[in-house]
Amino acid sequence: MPADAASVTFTIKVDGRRVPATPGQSVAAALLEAGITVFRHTPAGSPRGLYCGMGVCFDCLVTIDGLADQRACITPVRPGMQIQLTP
Amino acid sequence: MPDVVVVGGGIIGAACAYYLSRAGAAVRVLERRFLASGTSRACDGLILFSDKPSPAEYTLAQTSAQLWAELAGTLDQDFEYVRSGAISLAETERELAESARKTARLQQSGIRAEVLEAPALHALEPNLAPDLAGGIFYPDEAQVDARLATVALLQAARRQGAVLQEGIQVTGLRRAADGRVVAAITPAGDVAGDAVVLAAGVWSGQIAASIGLELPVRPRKGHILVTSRVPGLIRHPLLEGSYSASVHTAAEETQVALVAEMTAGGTVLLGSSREFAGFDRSVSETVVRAIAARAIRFLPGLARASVIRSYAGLRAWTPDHLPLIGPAGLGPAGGPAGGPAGLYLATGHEGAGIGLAPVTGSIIADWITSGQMPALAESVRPGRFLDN
Amino acid sequence: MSTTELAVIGAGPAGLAAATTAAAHGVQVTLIDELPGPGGQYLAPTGATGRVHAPLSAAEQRGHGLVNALSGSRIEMRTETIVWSLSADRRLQLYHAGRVDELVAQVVVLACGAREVSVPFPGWTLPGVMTVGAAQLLAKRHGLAVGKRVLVAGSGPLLLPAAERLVRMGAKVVAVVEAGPITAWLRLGKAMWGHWDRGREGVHYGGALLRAGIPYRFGRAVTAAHGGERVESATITRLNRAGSPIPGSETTVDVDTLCVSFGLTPNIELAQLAGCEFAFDPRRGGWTPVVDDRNQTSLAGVLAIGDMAAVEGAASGMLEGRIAGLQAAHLAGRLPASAVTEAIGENAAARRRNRRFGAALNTIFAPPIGLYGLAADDTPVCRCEEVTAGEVRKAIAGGVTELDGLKVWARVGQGPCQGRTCGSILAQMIALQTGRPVADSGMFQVRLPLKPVPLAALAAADGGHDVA
Repeated sequence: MPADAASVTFTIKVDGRRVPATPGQSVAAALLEAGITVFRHTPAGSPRGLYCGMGVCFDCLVTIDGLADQRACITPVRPGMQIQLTP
Repeated sequence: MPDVVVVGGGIIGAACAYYLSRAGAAVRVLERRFLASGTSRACDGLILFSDKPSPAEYTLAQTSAQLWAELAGTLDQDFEYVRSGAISLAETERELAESARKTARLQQSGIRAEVLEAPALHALEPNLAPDLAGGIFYPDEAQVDARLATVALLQAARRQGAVLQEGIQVTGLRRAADGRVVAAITPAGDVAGDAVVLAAGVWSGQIAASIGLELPVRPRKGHILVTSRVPGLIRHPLLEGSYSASVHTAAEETQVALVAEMTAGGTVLLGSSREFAGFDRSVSETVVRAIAARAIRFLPGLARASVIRSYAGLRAWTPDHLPLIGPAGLGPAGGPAGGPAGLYLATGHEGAGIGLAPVTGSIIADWITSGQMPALAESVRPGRFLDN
Repeated sequence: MSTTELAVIGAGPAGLAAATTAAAHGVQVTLIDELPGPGGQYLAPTGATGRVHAPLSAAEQRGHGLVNALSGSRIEMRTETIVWSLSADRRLQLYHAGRVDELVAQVVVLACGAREVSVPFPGWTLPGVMTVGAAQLLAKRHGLAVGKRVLVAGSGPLLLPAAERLVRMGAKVVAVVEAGPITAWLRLGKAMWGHWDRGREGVHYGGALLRAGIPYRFGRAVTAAHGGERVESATITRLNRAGSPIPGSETTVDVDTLCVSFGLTPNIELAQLAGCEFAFDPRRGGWTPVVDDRNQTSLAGVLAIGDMAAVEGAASGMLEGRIAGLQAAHLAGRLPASAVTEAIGENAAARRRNRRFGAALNTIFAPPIGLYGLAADDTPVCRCEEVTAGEVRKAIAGGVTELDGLKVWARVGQGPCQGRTCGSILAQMIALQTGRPVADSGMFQVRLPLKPVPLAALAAADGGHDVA
């Protein structure tokens, strides 16, 4: 749970659904807080989510505002951001 | 049956090992690092004959393409062989008209080709930029995964008795008193054979120089970018219209002409560049940007994708764009060779190494096991440069 | 294209120290980091308000002091900026907000930090299985407790503070399991001489876990994670001396999160691409750039500090950063060489202590090689391309001894991570299977762009069709 209750919440869209986000959050943190742990599936069908949390493993890839394969763990959320988990 | 030493563990060396061992020769492949560690791991995997203007080049390429199709059915290991045809793109009506004229000539040699106006082009490839004038579709062009293909050929050769030694550097060639090449020199000693096949790509020249043989082979550097996965973006390999010209020009400046090939994993290999930069294999950011620009111009959908890595490789260029395949012409007293002895060359493929690997291996195997020049080998005789 | 006197790559404690030191001597400094703000993995303040989640160790306090010093300085801070290539003549290729750019520096300080070492086991790719560092970052940076029933596993001193923080945030930590024997900590004790800070921290964390009633078990590892779309349970097995699981000693616990870490390995890719000379030294964390006492690499004008030069922690990074900052100031003509020599002399004892401490951590807690047998033949060891342990073992059995050879024979390391996750795994697998020293398998060759760059950005920067 976010410790800073006074920070302003805005919304981002994840596969069209509204998800709350706070300034300074990473996309991964916003997804995890919304209960989303599966960020994608590999070509072989394996579910993947957050692994290293620091941008070196390239597991947490999501499409952000039309740009594919962005690392959710190091990308900060912005108001109006559109995230696509399913292709 | 002869003992043959093959110098070089790239796709040419692997193909030579395969066809030689199939013909019963005892083959030893010497590779200085690991299989495909040279140019063969820096390629796209296209098997083209539409970009070969001369009948000699075309015939060689066409024969080799047929051999690839056979290998796809016979080798145990899969190497992602796909024959979906390739498309040469024309940006303008003028370019399309010119390509159509060239195509008519090629069709006379027997190449199947179809001129596509814009609507037909976009029906085949919906993600191409809408303003292109059209293209030429060559339905018989194919592709493989170059590394997998090298491995598949080599593994098959091993099953036929060939031996691969990695981590062995050949530093020169040993000649007997009568002038015949009898061994490859390595730090661990001589590796002798009835024949030595030099298939070391751009590094063949160094090895040949050890016996005073000057090969007309120059390294011609190319770049490839690998994109992130974009499944379904393209269905055929694509070449921009100027690609063939970039291959055949003798100009020293860097040539960039788009080549795009989808891999089985859904990434796209983007090329191409050609420049004479010595043996430097460092990747140039300038060339990377230039290839990216051509790619986005033709495939605007790539704007959602990234480049995940790039690499450079050294093609073995020769002045007439035909490889050197056959005896080096060093028989007794340095005169022309006869029979399955001495030094054989299998190099100089300049960007067509993947495509021409099987016909190269096949010609070498024929030469060495029968002592006769196969019909196809006339145009690629090393003697055309070395006999003087 | 822009220029700067000093480019510092990485705004963690080491990079911050180098940047602020050089700037204090009048050097023009550009400080670059991929993250949205300075601090690196270690400091990880919340982006929004810069607030930090207390309590802080002495090193953390010093680090935050450095972050605060940035705003009063003339340092140009470039955040969310990827350095995707570095040449030997110090040209940096950058990517930021849709654009690529080139920055030419007179001096470069590499402070790229380190990443965690992974040991694959069946189920390790399931969502909910993550590194200990990932859990720490979510907690530190976002105040997010990563799960409700958490198992912490691996080896080394990162486990304790992570478990303690999770407990503090209200997660149920079902256990902490460490691969090494309890005697490893006694061996560490000797190397702790002078590092009283760390000793106190350890006691503090240990005490917190005891009070919370969390079992801390030695000589055990997670040998499998189970679940459908995410982890639901984990199997813990006792290990023998060689680090191999003892059959029959498995227990399975229900978890929703599994945090595993086996120490750190340096982020050396930029140094490698630029062409620095490397040496393999397990005491420094494996393959590291060769540096002199001024932290200069084999390339003129390129220095390397912090965990990427030797995994020794933030306090050491800040000290080395200060020395590098002084050396950079000297190279930029602001200080005589004697100033650097003096600083080196004053800090010689501290540096020796840091070296000993780092060496102890990196060797005592290195994952036992037997653990690299945990992966089943169908367990992916290359996460990006899903290449399995079986395919890798087959290639090794076929004679591959070099990491780059595995790229050809087993198709590993071809994905976007360029072998950052699988490289250390594969080197150990080769060593385990062939009996050869780990160093013999070499390093994965890395290629530009070191991290993916959007094609559109590259295309937009193209100057035209003529590239001569």
